Amino acid sequence: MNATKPKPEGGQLVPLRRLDERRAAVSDISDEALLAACGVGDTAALGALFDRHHDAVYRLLSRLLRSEPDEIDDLVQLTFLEVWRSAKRYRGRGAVRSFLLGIAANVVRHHVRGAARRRAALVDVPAPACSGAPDAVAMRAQLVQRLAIALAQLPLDLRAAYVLCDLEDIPGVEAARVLGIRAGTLWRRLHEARRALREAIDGGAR
Amino acid sequence: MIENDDQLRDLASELPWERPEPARRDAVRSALLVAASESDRRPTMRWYVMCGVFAAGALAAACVLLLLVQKPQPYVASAARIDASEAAQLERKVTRTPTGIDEVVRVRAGRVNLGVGALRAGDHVRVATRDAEVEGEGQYEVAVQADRLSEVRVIQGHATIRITGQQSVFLASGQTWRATVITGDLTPPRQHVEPSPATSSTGSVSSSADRIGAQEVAKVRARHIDHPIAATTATFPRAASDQSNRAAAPTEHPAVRDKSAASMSSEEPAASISAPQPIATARKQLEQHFKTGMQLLKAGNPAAASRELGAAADAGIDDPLAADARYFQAVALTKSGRKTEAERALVAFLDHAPTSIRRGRAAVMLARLIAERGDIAAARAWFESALGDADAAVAAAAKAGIAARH
Repeated sequence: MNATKPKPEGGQLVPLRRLDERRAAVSDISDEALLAACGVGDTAALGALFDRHHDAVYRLLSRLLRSEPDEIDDLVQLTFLEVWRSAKRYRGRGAVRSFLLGIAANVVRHHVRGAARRRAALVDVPAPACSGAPDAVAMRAQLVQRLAIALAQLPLDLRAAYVLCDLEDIPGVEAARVLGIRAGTLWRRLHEARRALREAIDGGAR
Repeated sequence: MIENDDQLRDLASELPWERPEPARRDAVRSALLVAASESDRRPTMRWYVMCGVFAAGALAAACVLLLLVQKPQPYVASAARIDASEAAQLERKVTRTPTGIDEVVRVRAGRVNLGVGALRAGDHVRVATRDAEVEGEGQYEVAVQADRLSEVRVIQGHATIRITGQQSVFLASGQTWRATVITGDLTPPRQHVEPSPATSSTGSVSSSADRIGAQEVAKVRARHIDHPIAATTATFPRAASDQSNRAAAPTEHPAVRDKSAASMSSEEPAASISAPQPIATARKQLEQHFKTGMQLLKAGNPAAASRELGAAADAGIDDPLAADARYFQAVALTKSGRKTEAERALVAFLDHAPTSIRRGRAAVMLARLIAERGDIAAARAWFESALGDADAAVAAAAKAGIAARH
């Protein structure tokens, strides 16, 4: 799902106090305008942002933190609430989607800070599914399963770097900014994450 | 198996994730919007931090204020240097006021020399008597008799005199202020006859000089008796020989004397404020003169008695016996027929003895002497002042005097 809408002609960044008062279609409004509207307290803009980016945020959270759906829902709500509060700080550097996913990654980081939660997350790795698919398909499914287990076993920092950059296609510079780290650090983490995942997959295959 | 990062990324793109049900998603959306609208109204962390900082600041300010309040007040030092005569009676009180330091030197008698340096704004150094207050800077001298201000002499600097019920008087360096004195001349008469009081009331022979003096005193007396306060309380300024002469001098314009009870001049201090002497010696002389004078008066020699009693009264100390000596001097002068001098002595007595039991008698005597000169209005005022005397005989005499002159 491509939740990011292209900017309208002229790059309009006018905050919307009331979205319905503008009588404009939500699809015509850029993410930046919606975020600016959030900055002045427009809950309708927040709803529109939620509609556009909910799936991406949910997917990121579910990949970063394997947990019950209810807990993921709570984190989704917490992420958008943080977006609502942080909207005034958005300076237009990078895409709004990167801004949102960075906030989601930080929410997860705060959420799993406790060791108990981390252990629970690691334990909550789903068991490999046994299917009667043909060999090639079954082999591919096994690889994906190994990757899922390896990803869940990665440290959160490496996992966040990998998910943001490789799975959510966030540019490295933006990912480093939203995570609050230097670009070099991000590249190092990304490199370590890829290597660990490959080793995990190859090791399981051997 | 996985040879490069692109293959790993392709594999990762197949990672499953459970898309939430629409109902759950809508529930999250609704909860989010409600939470967002509530968080808008909720105070932020910044608000809490600001409140905390403000509270801490207020607490610190309160602590500092408390420390300042509990800090002991510094010693209040006197801003004036005071030199007082041995006979001077004075008290000194230094207090801290909201505006500065207030130093009051309460003088009841004697001569006090003050040296007051430059004062800060709000500081005051004052000399107080029963009837006046003097405030100044520099060096000035204050003389007080019977708890009343008699003279102020500014040696250097300036001073302001504030007398109850009168306008303030400003004195610059070198100026002297003296209380106005209206009394008779107590110098011995050049010629005197000694008729009895009874005969003197009907008419007596006196020298031309005495007559002139009597007329002058009568004028002055009449003017002051016209003043209601003077008539009822008889609180005339005390005797001073130089000023009494000035008051009686025919060349002085009456308006100058009547303008105020105070006068300014650049003269030296009055001679009446004699140099301080040991109290015991003065008291002994007073008693001796008084005793001799009374013996002479009882022996029928009023002329000599008046001289002795006058010497006792002029002993120079503030003593009830001196006041009595003045009274009996007036009696002796009356008996000796020197009515003008008797009048002056009576006025001096009334001025110096505001609480004496003889005031009523003295007032009646004075009223009779004035009435003999024909100044009925002035005599009536003195009679009226004796109507409330504790002695019934004196009150009756005053009443009879008023009735006889209707």
